[in-house]
Amino acid sequence: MRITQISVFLSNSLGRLESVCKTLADAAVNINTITILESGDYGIVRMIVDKPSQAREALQAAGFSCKEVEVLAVEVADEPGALYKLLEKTKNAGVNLEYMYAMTKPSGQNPLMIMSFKDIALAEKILG
Amino acid sequence: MKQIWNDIHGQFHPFSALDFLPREKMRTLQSQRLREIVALSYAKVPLYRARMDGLGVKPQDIKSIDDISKLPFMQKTDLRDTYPDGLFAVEKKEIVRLHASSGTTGKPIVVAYTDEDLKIWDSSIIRCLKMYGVQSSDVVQNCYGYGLFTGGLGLHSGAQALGCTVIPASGGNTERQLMLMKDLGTTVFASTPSYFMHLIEEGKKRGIDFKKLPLRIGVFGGEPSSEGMRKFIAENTNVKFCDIYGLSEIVGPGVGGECEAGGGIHILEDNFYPEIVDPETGEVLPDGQEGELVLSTLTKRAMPILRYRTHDITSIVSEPCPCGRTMRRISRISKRSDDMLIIRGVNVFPSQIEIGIGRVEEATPNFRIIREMKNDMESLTVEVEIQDKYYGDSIAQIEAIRKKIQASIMNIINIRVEVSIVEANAIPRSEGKIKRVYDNRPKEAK
Repeated sequence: MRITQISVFLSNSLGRLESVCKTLADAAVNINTITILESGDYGIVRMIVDKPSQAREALQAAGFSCKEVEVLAVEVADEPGALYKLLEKTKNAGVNLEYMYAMTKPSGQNPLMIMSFKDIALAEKILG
Repeated sequence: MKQIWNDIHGQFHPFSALDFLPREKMRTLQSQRLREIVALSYAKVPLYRARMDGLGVKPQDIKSIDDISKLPFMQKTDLRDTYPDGLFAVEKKEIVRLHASSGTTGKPIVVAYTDEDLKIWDSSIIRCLKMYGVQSSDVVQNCYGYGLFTGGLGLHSGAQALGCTVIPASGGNTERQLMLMKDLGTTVFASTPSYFMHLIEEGKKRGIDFKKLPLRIGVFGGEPSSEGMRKFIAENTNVKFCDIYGLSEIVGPGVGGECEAGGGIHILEDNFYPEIVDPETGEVLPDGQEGELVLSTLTKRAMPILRYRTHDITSIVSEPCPCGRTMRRISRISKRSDDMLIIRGVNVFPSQIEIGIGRVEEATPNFRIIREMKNDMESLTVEVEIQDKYYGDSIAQIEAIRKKIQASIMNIINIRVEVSIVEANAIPRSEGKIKRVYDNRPKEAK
């Protein structure tokens, strides 16, 4: 399933992430999952939220540099070899994975993997 | 003058006539004025008399403008040391206005004007405004600070004397500046270029498109301008970027201006005589060679300033200007001899770093330089904001931009500096002169 991720560029300094979270709290946006990629002076925060466009508007209005990015959310069975089988398919099709992180699905038992591909359309076709 | 010369559609003002004086006539005028001002200074100002006596130079040794090189230099410290009135050359009753520097470093510098000096100052500003194409029908929003600073009142008075509608907005209060600009139909905006850039950005956030405003001319001064600033303003507005040069010690704004041809700044050399000297030795350099700009006031009587070391690094362009003005130009000023940084033995100017950044299309002109000590070594970190669309989702892409900026700077200054990409709006915006260098070294290392 194709979903929208919010990516925010942040300087690595005290209180910046707190400020992002406060902005989202004030806009009544719920964060489903969040991950931070750190690179020395700065980082990129990636989030799946319940209301992506409201989240982006609120963050931009608060002066943050943020983007909506399309990613795939793929349910992966909670058992040995499940992720392997999935990645084998994409490898055989020549679609390279850019990055990936996990998210628990509020209702189901299986985790969701949030996956980013350059060719998202092809990846979506392969992974169904 | 206005009554007999309606300039609404005119390209010139009667005061502009001197802009076109043939070179030989200009030299004759300069020579005559120099003789008078040297005689006045020698007679009335103890510091000049002592210095000239020290060099064995008498007023009668100054016959032509070329003899100016026999005179001693003046430094900013001379103006401080003689605080408040040691350089005044006329009686107090002749002085009608005083201005002063902000005095952030020690005693302020006081400058004085006679009524005639103010008229000359007005006429100088009018000549600059006419170079830019300002007409009496223009609405001028003046954001230079009013008060002790020469910028606000100086430009105000000149623009008003030209017949413009002047809005004395002074500096600061972004919200109000934008409101005035929209509601009063500002056509000419006067401020530092960095403050205008700040207003463009703030306007964007509020949905104001500067291209839809009647703004057409920007009178920018008070700080060196860069290609990056010009590019940013050209991309976001219909404003023609016009440099106005000046410094309070000489008169304030109006020492020179950039004409339509855009190839440098014409110095109003019948009032303010320019020389270029070697910053180390003080030796006068020929036209075309880069060095420190030295200025002498040829007409200001309340406080004549002779051979003042401006610390601005530039060169004199003596080739005829396509606009027809015969006054020599100086190249755009981007360097000051006193903002040079010495990093691991290499001379670095903030403007060189700015040029390096300007060559990378993903970067914005918003940057600052941080000096600090790391492992007992001095390090220089350049913080840069990039264009909004490049703050993407990929570290690899941002790293590539960072390395590109780093390489572009190194290409110019030949040493490696750290480059750090920071969030949009993380670099403090200026409401006056922009601050580029932040020195975070411990006191003992400075």
